Amino acid sequence: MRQSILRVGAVTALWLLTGWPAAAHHGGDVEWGKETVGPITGTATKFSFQFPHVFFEMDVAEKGGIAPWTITTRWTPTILRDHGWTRDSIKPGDKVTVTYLPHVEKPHIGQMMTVEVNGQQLPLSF
Amino acid sequence: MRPICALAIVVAVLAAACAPPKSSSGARDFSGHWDRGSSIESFANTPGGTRGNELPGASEAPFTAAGRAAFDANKPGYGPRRAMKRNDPMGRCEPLGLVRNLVAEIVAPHATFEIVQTPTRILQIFEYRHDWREIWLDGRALPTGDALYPKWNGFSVGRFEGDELVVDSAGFDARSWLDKLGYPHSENMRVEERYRRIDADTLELAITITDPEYYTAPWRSDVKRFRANRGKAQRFDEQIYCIPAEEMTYQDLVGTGNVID
Repeated sequence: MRQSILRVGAVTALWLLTGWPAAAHHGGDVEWGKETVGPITGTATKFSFQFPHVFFEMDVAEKGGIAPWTITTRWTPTILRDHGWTRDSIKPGDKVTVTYLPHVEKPHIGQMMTVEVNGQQLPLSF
Repeated sequence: MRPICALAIVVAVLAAACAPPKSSSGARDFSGHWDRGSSIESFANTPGGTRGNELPGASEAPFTAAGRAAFDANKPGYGPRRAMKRNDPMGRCEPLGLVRNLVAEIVAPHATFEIVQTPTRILQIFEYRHDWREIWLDGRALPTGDALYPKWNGFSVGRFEGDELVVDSAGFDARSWLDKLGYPHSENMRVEERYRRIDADTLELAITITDPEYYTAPWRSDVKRFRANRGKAQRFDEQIYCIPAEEMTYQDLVGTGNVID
């Protein structure tokens, strides 16, 4: 029984993460890869709670140095507000962990699929 | 009879004559918020017009040579021709134009419009970009000659055929696309919309464009269904404008090349 539940959960998660289209409303849906990768963890430097898609920037320790990353969402501020986000959901200095769809051309940009801020998960699947 | 009384009677008679005939069932009342219910996000059931599997019967547009050339020049971010480098007007904060507004191609909850109806005029308010158009029901004709000039949403007049609302439109700015797949239209396009309420919660819309410059025959959309969204009226709207400073930041960030310098 437990295995069946786990199997259903795994299939559902796979559908959510790979089968759910990376929808966008600003003119294209080709920029994101199909496979969710990560997680990566960094320190937030900026949170842009703005249209058309909310995004934030963070510094990630990488190859002995610090790499600046930009992580977008597929949602507008209004939709995220409906699900509990505010413009202070991510603040500079916060420790943020994300899984993401990688950009097809740019190595340090991704579209977040899950996000955890200082150990607290923020809702993204709705 | 006093002159003022006679005038009042004349005004009342004229008002009654100009108002659309009443339907006892309310089938001629299109007021409300309507969400796209169809999975087709393109103007018609064309290849790649849905996000999932292609629907049966998908077929290509009846292009003229000029229409094909205009289609090829449009570089969309969606569908079978999607590419990173594109020139979709949407990504540059340009108005979507009437047909693309009607298609309501945007993801939920933006795939919606509101209809505000009076006896002599309908206001149709499109959620995405907060665009709107008016449909005159007072019996006037579409403008002609110099009075007909290119507008993003054109000029529109409506009439009832039974309980069906028929809207004719003309005068379009050719910079807009018909949909996210990049189907073009000329300034001389004519648009006919047919709206029908098939039950209390469902609105059907079929759109036919006639544009001999770009299409060899009138081209009809799939029958688009919209569901009544009564909850929408209970909250504030999305306020989703296209702000160039924000949109360009995003387009630049994701590298579409669709950036205004």
